[in-house]
Amino acid sequence: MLSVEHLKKSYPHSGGSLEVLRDISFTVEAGEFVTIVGPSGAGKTTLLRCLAGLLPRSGGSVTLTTSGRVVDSPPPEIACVFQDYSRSLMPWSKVGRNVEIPLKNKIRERGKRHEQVERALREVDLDGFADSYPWQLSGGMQQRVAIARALAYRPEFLIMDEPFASVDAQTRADLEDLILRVRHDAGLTIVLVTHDIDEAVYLGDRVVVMSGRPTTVVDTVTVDLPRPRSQIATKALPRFAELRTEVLKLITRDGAEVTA
Amino acid sequence: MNTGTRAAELPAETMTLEAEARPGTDPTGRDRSSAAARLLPWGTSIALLVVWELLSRAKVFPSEIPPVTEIARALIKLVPTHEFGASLLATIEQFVVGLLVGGVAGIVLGVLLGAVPLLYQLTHYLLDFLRFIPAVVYLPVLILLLGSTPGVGYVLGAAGAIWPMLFQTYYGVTGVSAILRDTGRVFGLRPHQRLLHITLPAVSPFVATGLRIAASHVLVVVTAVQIISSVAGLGSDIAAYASNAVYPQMYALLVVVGALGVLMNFGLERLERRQLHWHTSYREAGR
Ligand SMILES: Nc1ncnc2c1ncn2[C@@H]1O[C@H](COP(=O)(O)OP(=O)(O)OP(=O)(O)O)[C@@H](O)[C@H]1O
Ligand SMILES: [Mg+2]
Repeated sequence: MLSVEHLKKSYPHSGGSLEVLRDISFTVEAGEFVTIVGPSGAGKTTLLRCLAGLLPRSGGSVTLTTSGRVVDSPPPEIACVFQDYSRSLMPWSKVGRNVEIPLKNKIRERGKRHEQVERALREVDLDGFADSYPWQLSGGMQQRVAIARALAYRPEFLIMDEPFASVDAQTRADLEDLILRVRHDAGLTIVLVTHDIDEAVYLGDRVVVMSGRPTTVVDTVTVDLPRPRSQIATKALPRFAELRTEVLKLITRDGAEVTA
Repeated sequence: MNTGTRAAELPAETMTLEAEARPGTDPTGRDRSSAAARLLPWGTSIALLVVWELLSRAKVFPSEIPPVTEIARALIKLVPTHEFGASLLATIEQFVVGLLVGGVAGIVLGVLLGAVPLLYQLTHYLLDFLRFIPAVVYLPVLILLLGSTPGVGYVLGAAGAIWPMLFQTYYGVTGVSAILRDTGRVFGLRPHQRLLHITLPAVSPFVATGLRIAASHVLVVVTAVQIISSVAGLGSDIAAYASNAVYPQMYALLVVVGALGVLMNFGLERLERRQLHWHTSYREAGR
């Protein structure tokens, strides 16, 4: 379980400081899929970098309750998929190497490492692309490489920063379903931020709604939609529309505009 | 000079220009015009040499500028001699040692300065001051210390190489994308693994640009040192021929120095194309 308590983050800013996260608290249970929606510039990336131990906090705490460990540096239980896939992959390494390099310390034996790389690439339907360079692939495929890299790492927690924001609508739907599938297969705990309300409701067990900057948690909405979910059937449910509206209301009440 | 430019795009720019200038990659595919474009520079070069020859023969040029054919004859006579071989070797040796020592030192210091911000803060006034001092300025002191030995060429060659390498490497290291650095940390890579798999490859285009700037600096410095002092090499031969008014031989050696420069640049370009095939500017052209 991941527990975030009264997390604060300010950046130094032209002499003074820029308050981005004012007071963020929520928990993520083991096996849960928590989505976080917030307007652009609310500090979603900032929040995730704090969760992953990449950014020092200005206050509050992030704790992995299973190990009782406070997250001050990147813990081995967490893997990330970043917002900008094209810059998170190493253009000088082939797809296979991109997935393999993070495993160097986890799996000492080369043969086993390669097996795991192959399995991860298969999970995202990229078998056969290990010897391509990332830049030879389409945007959606590159993001799948980033997902495969995170999966191969076998983390307990997968943290994703608007992973589908820069691909077309069809690819986006495919990637959403891909994530739901691998999450089911691997029993992952996922935290995903997005500014897309539909996506947040479609994917999540719970939606944490954030205000605009300085950011607080407005409310948390439990998504009681049946699983497995389907782009067509789930989104056609009246309950889906209700939840969507509920989240939208929470966000607009706060006065921030969001792409719905 | 080039060393002074702070440009994250410098490698990209220089390489793109070259990739685009390559004949045959013309997207319109007009073969005849691209063949003409290839031949034209040769034509103008030959035409200029002919004009030179005629002006010199007609005594329009002073006697210090001999006809091209005489220079060519001098070159052919000079090349097989033992003295020429020794001088050429001495120049190449000073060039290689200077570039290696200065280049490696520049990369190491550049990585250190880029990785430890405090180090940069403490030293950057000094570095910015030192980088603009031409290496040849240290020549008198070195002659006093080392005499007219190849050591002078090594040291000053290295001094010519170190600055472009240091600053290019530094810009490269500080320019590694934040997302890539985060990636390395999130996936638990140790510092030396991050250096090997992320920082160094990301910096390599900058190092390539630094290397090319450094190489041309070193050739200039090494030749100048030999001309001014009597450190053995093509430069000191050039100075000797000039002071004895043996002009065809002097120009013949100038041709050799020029050819060395062209060869070196060609070699470095080839190396770059091979090592940086993944870089944006080589993706279509080089594969
Ligand atoms: N390293 C930094 N130094 C200073 N300010 C920063 C830094 N990173 C982010 N900020 C500021 O913090 C605020 C929130 O940025 P952040 O990237 O976390 O937002 P976001 O919600 O992820 O935005 P987007 O939806 O555009 O991805 C912005 O105003 C940004 O300018
Ligand atoms: Mg962001």
